Amino acid sequence: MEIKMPVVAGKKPGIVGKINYNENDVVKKDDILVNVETGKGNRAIKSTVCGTITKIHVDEGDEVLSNDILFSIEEIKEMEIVQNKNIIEEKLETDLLVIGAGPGGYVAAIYAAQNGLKVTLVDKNKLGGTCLNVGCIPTKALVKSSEAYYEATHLNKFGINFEGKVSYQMKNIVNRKNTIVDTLVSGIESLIKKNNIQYLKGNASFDSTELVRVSSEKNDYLVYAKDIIIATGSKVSTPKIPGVDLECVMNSTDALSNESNFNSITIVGGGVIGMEFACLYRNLGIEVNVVEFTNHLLNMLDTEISDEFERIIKDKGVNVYTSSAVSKIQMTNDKKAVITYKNNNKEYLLVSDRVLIATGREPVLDGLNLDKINLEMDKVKKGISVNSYMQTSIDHIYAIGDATNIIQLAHVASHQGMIAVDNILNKNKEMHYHAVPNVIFTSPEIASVGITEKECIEKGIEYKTSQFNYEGNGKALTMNATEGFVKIIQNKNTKEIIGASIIGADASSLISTLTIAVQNKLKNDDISNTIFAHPTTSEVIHEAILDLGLGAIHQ
Amino acid sequence: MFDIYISPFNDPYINLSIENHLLLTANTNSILYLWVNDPCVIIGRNQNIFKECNLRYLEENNIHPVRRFSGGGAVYQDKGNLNYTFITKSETDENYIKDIILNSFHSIGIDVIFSGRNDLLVRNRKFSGYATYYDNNHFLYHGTCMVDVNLNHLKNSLTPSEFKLKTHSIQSVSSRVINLKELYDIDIDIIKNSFLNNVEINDIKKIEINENIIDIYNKLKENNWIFNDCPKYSISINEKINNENYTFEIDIKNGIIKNIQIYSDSLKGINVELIEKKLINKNFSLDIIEETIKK
Repeated sequence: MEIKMPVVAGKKPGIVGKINYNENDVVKKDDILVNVETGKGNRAIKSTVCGTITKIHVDEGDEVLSNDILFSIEEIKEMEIVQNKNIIEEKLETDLLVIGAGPGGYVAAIYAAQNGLKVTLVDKNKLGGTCLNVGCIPTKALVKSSEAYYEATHLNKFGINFEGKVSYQMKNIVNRKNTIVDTLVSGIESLIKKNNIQYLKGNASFDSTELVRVSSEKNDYLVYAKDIIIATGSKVSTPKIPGVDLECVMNSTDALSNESNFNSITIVGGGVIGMEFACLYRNLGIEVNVVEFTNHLLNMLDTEISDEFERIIKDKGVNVYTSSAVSKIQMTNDKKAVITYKNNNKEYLLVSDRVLIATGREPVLDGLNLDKINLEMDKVKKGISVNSYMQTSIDHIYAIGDATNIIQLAHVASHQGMIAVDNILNKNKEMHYHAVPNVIFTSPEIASVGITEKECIEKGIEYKTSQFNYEGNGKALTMNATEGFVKIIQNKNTKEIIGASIIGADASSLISTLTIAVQNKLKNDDISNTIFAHPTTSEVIHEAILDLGLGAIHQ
Repeated sequence: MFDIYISPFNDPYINLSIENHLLLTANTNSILYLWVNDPCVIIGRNQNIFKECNLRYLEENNIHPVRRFSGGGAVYQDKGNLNYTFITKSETDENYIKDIILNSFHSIGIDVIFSGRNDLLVRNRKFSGYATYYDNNHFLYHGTCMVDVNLNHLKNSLTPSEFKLKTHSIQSVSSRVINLKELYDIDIDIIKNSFLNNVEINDIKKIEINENIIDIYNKLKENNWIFNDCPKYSISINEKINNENYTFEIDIKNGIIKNIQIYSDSLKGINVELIEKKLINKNFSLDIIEETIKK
């Protein structure tokens, strides 16, 4: 199909103005391809078919005459069905193809649909990705069960006597978790339907930069998309330690569906995932060992916070071995795990029923066929390289979430997804990471936002810190939760709050207040003039802010 | 027979949105639409705004930058200017419309002619620019009419800043202009009435803002449409840093910096690679260039 310059009265040639598409772009009928300035004014030349532009015959600034060929377009007949080696190939065209339906992908898809785009969403597994199925939500379900068990076995602390026996079956805890996950996944399903998003279950791979093949059980779909968002997420990364594939060894996904009770566990890795499991297992009365390679648990946190955390969990009976590297895992005849670790060049042994490997997650990119389209990778992060507009090295392909490996957090992925859609809509929005809250559901909870004291020193920022302990908070006392503190970091020159960390009761909720402060560059006076409700744990924030001025009242 | 629309608004973006909506929904009746804008510079569909006007001056003087759908060159206008728009079916002869325009001026004693480039001239000086656009099987003919515009703003707005641009866009042709008020005792209402007296009126219609108009309005207000939606171009900027002269040659497509080259007699004061890396694939604006270089 050729799109020609229409007949215009007069012999004067037209001048090619703005060309709206590139070769290989897919256009719909009536899309404006190019503007041509003629003796009779500007003429918007529209496509008469839906198809792929195979050649653009003119350049911006060229002169054209009536009947000159401007564009060659290969027509796509919608839902064209080709019978090929028993596989049915169905051709689809869409404005936006989102690969991966986790919290990055499905949020981007819904937001794009709300903005009027025709959206196709692909995932090879269940909707909801890691977060809903094997990450944030299921761990929190287990954490809540473990807290309920802990409270039930410590009722006397609240002045209550209980003569009977409290017990749990891991199977029932996991069943409860499954019900919660199923409810949420079906909620996402109905949102996808409500927003008229086309959902394909299958594996996506790039045939070209515009054409993605989605292979499902029954047939293949060939999807032509104007824009594409890669949101394929991450998978558990497994270190090369001899014995990691023994049956007593689990990763976080296995642990979330483990239905049998056990008495002891060794957790390899002192990061977020490892520590959430350490606390939840400890609350269930399980004996817990933690082996961490660096010299701190949760080493991305402010060291005062991670020191306090280490002190609290040691108090609760968790055995912590830092600066220690696991060198092998073996299994005894009665199926107990024997873990060998080295500390200071000496070898030590630990014995437990189970081992949990929690050494992190890595991007899932296999099967996408990214080599074929030469997509640039970030060699340091081992994810897809993107700019601050979430755009990859190919203009119309965006990548978000764990696939970029910038920050592995569901709420970052969702935000990146909306930023990517905004840029697809030409709204020019940049992603910023200076006020991303990070929450860890340990006991007690930990949360942080903005920059740490260490980063201030590294960046040469003049800063001031303040701290307020939960011991001085009335509500915390009534909750038997006087452990922990809040720490706030202020830029000494601008007085703006630039970072904060909390370890203690309700930290996961309290961090929102401080995120608003960091995001909006609030100064200590802005917050100290705010009234905080009494008696609530939020008063610890008010007090810590007052500490930046004349001093906290209750400390 | 003409349906008449007279805009009660002065916002140039809303007025152009109404105009585009009238074109896209035009049917049997011809249309005459009259409108007056707050201070603004309106550039042609295929023009480069950096090339056509002094954006700093616009910002300082609250003059709106606007990109229209029709072709042609850049104009400055304010409340001393009347815009007229005719929309007719594609088979209608353009000369029929031109005659209405000429008669509207002649009947109130203003002696005007069309120039070769379709501008309207009085005593050989331009007071009205004219452009056309085609869509929905209808032609749109519209023009400006300077009655009493601020000539100081006009001159300063349409004088671009000092940097050089290589573009594939449509260039404006500058003309000697004149306000009708300099020659005649006249105001905008007199000309408005004369247009109405020179067409056969079917109905005077009330303008109702609907969702379509809002959609067009949002598009016209988008920075991307105003600043970036033009043919690719290169810009050359000279900056003095630490008393050394630097020339930055920047290729821009769809508003995004695609390539940057830095020339200088000495390169010790500046990390060329870092600047290149910081700017490539960023949205182009004068501010981002200045900020990045000065850091």
